[in-house]
Amino acid sequence: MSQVSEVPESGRSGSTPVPPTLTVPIQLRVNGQIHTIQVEPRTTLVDALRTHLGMTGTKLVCGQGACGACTVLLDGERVTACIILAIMCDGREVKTIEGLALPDGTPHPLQAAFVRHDALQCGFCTPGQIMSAVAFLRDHPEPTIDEIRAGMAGNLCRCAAYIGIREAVADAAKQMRASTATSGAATLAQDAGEMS
Amino acid sequence: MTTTIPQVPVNPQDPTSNPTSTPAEQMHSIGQPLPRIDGLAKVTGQAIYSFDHALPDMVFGTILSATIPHGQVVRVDHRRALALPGVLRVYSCENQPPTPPRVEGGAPYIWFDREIRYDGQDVAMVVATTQAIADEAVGLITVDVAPAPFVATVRAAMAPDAPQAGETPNVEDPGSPYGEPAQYTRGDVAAGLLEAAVTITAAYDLPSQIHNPWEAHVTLATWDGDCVTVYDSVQYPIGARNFIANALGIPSEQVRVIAEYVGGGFGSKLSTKTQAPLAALAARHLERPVRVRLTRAQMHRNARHRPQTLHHLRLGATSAGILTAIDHEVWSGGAPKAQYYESAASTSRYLYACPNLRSAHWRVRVNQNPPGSMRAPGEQQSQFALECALDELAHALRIDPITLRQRNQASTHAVSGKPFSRNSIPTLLDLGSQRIGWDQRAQPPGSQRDGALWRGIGCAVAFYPLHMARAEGRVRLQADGSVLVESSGVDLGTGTYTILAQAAADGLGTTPADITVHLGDTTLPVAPIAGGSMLAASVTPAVYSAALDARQQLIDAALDLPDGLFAGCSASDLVIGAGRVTHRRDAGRAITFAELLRLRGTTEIVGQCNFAADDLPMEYGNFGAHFAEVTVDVETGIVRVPRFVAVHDSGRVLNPTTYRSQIRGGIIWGLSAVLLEASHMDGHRGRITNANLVEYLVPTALDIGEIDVTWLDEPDAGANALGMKSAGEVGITGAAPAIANAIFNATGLRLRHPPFQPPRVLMALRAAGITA
Repeated sequence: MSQVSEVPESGRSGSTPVPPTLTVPIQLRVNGQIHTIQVEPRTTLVDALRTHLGMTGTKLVCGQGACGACTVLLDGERVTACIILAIMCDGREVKTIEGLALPDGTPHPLQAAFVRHDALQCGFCTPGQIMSAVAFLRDHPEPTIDEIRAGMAGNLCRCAAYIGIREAVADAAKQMRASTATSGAATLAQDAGEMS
Repeated sequence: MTTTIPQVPVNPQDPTSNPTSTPAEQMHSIGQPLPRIDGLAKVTGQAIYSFDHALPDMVFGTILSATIPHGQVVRVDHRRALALPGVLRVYSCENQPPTPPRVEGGAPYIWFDREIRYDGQDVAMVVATTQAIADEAVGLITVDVAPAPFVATVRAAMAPDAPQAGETPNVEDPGSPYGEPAQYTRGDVAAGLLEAAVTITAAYDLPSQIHNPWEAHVTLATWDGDCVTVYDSVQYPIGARNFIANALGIPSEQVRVIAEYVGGGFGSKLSTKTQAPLAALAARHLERPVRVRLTRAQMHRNARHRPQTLHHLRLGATSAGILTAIDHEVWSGGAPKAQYYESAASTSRYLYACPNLRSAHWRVRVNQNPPGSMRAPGEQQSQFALECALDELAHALRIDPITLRQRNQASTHAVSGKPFSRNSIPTLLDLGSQRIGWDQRAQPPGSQRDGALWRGIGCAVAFYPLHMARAEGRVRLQADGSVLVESSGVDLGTGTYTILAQAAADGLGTTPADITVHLGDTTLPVAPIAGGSMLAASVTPAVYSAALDARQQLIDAALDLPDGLFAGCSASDLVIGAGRVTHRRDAGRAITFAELLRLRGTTEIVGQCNFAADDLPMEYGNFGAHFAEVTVDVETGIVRVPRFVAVHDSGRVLNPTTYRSQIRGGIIWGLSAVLLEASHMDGHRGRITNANLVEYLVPTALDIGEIDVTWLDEPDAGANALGMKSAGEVGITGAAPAIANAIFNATGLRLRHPPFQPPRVLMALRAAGITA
């Protein structure tokens, strides 16, 4: 754990004097890039991403880990970032929706499939759905529809695009298997959420 | 798989030769399953919602909610909150600013009322440098209150000795605040019931439910001089602008509301919530941007809800199944000082032909936050009660429920007296019954058993009227070759961006790839609410006509070129696309928008249309036939819906992809309404006990089986220039009663008090002596 210090909270300079707050420095590796930020111990991972790093692709909905909208990958595993403290992620690798497309902007097969199957309406749960599906497909590369329904049951969609979502996940699985077979390591690494 | 079914027989009075309707041959993009054009932004996290907007020096507000349902605020002590480092300001009734008189008249806006009328009402707001500090600081505010007697549930408020929730009696005739009178009678119901060979009486109790859009009610406000820009998550930016301006006592021209992406609404964002003017107020005082968001609990306790409705129905019919009387009476939850009532006996008035009818609404004020519109408000509950009661009547008559509905088809809207342009219900029922395998349902009910799983099929009619309202269409052809479509309306996820691009492309004679759509900004042309399923049917015809206007101006300009580039050509020789006008057969004869505009001495061509939504001579409806197959596990009480069939008629379908998603979403909302969702009010404390997404149940992926959606793709020519209707709400109206009727078919039991969560189902099964 990093050393605790009394310093002004980072990124909070303004016309009003900012009071000293108990904050700690942490290092987050987000999509392969290292960020050092000062956070309060109570700061959640979703707040660190959205407010401290300005990465608003990860959404906050229920605040209780119940809906999955804030799902990111922490060292490759699905977590709900609204109930993980940022200080618990010190030195760890976080993968978010912003880091999923290839560097040239080519969407991840899941992102493309979500558009193709209209697996979204308002889109607010979508980043969490997709991040959840990345981890799910890594563990279940050839899922049945019932496995998808169970494996994605932690990600709620209020617009109820569930049928599009399961079709998109099934279709992306096919695409990813095909591209793994043909193009090898680069896609494999990306699918595993390790590419940065 | 979705297929398109051949055309429906139309009412002979249908003006199919309506000159305003558009021939199909001009439609190249409309009707195509174009993927939603905002899809990539949403799947990559690049779409910026109101909750995502951030500005330098932004600070954060948190609202403190009342924890008593009725009483007076005696004193609010801010001191401990103000002492917390990072707290900038505290607002409450102790220091609320004197509000200037409203620009448009009326009583001044009250920021924090000393009179508490419901648990969850705003008491104070803290603004602090971080959201966490603001959240912490509201807990440090001390509020002294003088509690008053209260009543928090509809049934308790109807008791003769109940405390009064507000300043008027709890149970009242709401009158006609929305035009339609709450009380309606035709013919002689008593005589109709006497005349009937069979009558049934049924009472249904439908729970209060919460919209729960995924994006919270959230507002970021920032001032520049006298003007405030507000990023707000709303369904009606113009309404939000006017509300905020009124609260602040400034002209609406000084308020700009932006909602480029909206994370769902479902009715809750039709009305502006208090966080919006509070953010604008604090931003003005603190001279820095302020974001205020409601917590998830506050979205349950203070952001409107679908009120509880108690229904009492009596139906009578001849032995041949001809309706002789419908009596539908509803008591719906209301709130002190709120005029809203749920028009939950509305569709009963006209959906079927019946000479003797009474439909009565009573508003029951309780100490709860005001109810409001939630996806198909009124129609959803009205259809549940009516369609379940018809199923009960069919069973009593020993007539097929489909036959009963078909024998009572309405060709005329009995309230307005206008003919329906068409009524496709009988056709849709036939088509749907084939797709579900209606003949395979349990006959008699309760006879299809596979161990503990009892299987049944039920049907219901889905209906939502066509609403349209004034809308301006604007299509701008720019020198850089771009085509801008602009509207202040929003895309809640319904597909507005996409269908407007399609409509503009067809009007202009180009492709959607050439079109850029700007939405959700009060500086853009007038659009109605994204509610009542009226945005698409109002704005899309306006944009289409504006694009036709732009095309005409562009073609005229091209044919009129001084260098004679298109000399001897006619309009049909010219093609518009990729920022240029080209000769259809000679690609060498072409001119860019830029050059054309330069030669004309102008910077852009603007096509416009003012869609007036005139009173039409006919009634236009969105129709559907819904069929549910359910299993009831008589050991556990778990109801599942493995298969659902929906056949719809919404006129011309602009985009099969987004249309199907809307209908499926509506159906799942219906499933959720009947099996899962209920906001629980603790009548002893006057507080909602499940104000969160753990205990308030909504469907997950595991709850969703197969949903087969098909439709008649037949323009309803007289409705508007595109012959289109709408899709947002009709889907929810049939699903819930179809599932309830399927449960009856599976078990022989009538469940009339949703949601049918396992304990309730199990108790009903055991009470009837059914065990595994």
